[in-house]
Amino acid sequence: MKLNEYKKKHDQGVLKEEEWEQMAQQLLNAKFDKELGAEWEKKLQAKGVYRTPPIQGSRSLRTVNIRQYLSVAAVFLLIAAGTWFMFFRSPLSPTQQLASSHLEQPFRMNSGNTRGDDSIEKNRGMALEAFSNRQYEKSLNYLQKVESEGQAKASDYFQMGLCLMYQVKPDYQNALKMYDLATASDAMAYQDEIHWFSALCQLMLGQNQAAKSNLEKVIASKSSRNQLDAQKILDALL
Amino acid sequence: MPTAIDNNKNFGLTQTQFDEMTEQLQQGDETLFETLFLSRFEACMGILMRKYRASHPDAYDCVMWAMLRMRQLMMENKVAFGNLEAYVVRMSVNKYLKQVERNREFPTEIMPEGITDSNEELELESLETLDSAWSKMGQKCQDLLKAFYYDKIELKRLTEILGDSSEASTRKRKERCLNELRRLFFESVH
Repeated sequence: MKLNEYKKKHDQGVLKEEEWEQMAQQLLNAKFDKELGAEWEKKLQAKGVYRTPPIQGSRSLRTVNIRQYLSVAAVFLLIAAGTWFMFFRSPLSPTQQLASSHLEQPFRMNSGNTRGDDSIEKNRGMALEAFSNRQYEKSLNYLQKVESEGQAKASDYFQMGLCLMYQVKPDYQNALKMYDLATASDAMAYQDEIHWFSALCQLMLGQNQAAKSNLEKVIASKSSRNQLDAQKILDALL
Repeated sequence: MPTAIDNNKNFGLTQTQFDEMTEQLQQGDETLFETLFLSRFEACMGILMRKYRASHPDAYDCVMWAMLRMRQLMMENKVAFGNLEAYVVRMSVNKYLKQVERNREFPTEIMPEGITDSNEELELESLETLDSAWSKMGQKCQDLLKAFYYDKIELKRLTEILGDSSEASTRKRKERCLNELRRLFFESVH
């Protein structure tokens, strides 16, 4: 049915509740599918998957060849420079470099239960919003307000740990404390993630034995999403 | 005797991991679903392009549609563990074949219910009208309607999330929001 037909029925008062609900359901599905699709499109782009394939230019073969050679040469130079920088100039060990690469991909916090009018829930909501915008210092401030009210839960401590890890000047030592507090608050919540992130913090602090123990827990956990990455780091540690 | 199922057919998931992922998805955590399904996106596109000669953008659109439907089906517990990869490919292919209006019909008997493209009938104008009406609604109503109609969260759970006194009160609130959307929607139709 066309939109103006629905409108006519609505205006005449004969559009049934069920008809409208069905229509609303379809419209909401389409609206949010579109939004989610756009979000996934960005994520796919980050993986190099695009809707439109790369356009083949109509330049002459010779121009293309020269440009291709130059591009290949530039890539080799970049790789060589990168390798030299990583292995001869970086103060980080190879395992720390691996850990660091994981720390550059922020964890996506679940929006969870942040609805509510009281100040605690508002602070949690603001903290989540700041976290999503990668404003980790700001997010930490809001969560510290929740903590100062004695209302912090495992999820708050966990998020504070993440903020301390991701902020401009990472504080891995205190991040580990936050993960301990999260575990103390609820021994079951976020355990896979806590083992994983604790291991990353410990690697950055050079506490390799402690990191190894946490990595082994990640590998042993069936529900962990980081088993393969943990195994790679553990292999590099041994 | 339990049947061994090839995990590769299920995006590398075991039955337990699949159940956990479904539960996470139903609780609003889409991280694992996205990681797994988007990692197979290109492979599914490849099948459409190689076997069905779909163009790159067509393959992309059809796989995207299938992934969105798969998410919805999992949230509604309408898809079972078995051969998830084949489900997604089959949905993409079916969508593609319908799109190009070929006479060749793909068998649909093994597909779960509710994956027909009901949105095809929707006009662009309706979506624009919805956007306009939606922007005039309050945040609480937006959250409630999205959670119920799109994220498929049951009223019982919504009552807990919203801190309502009873399921009946949440239902009442949802009805009020839906009526508000109806009023704003038809006011926005020119």
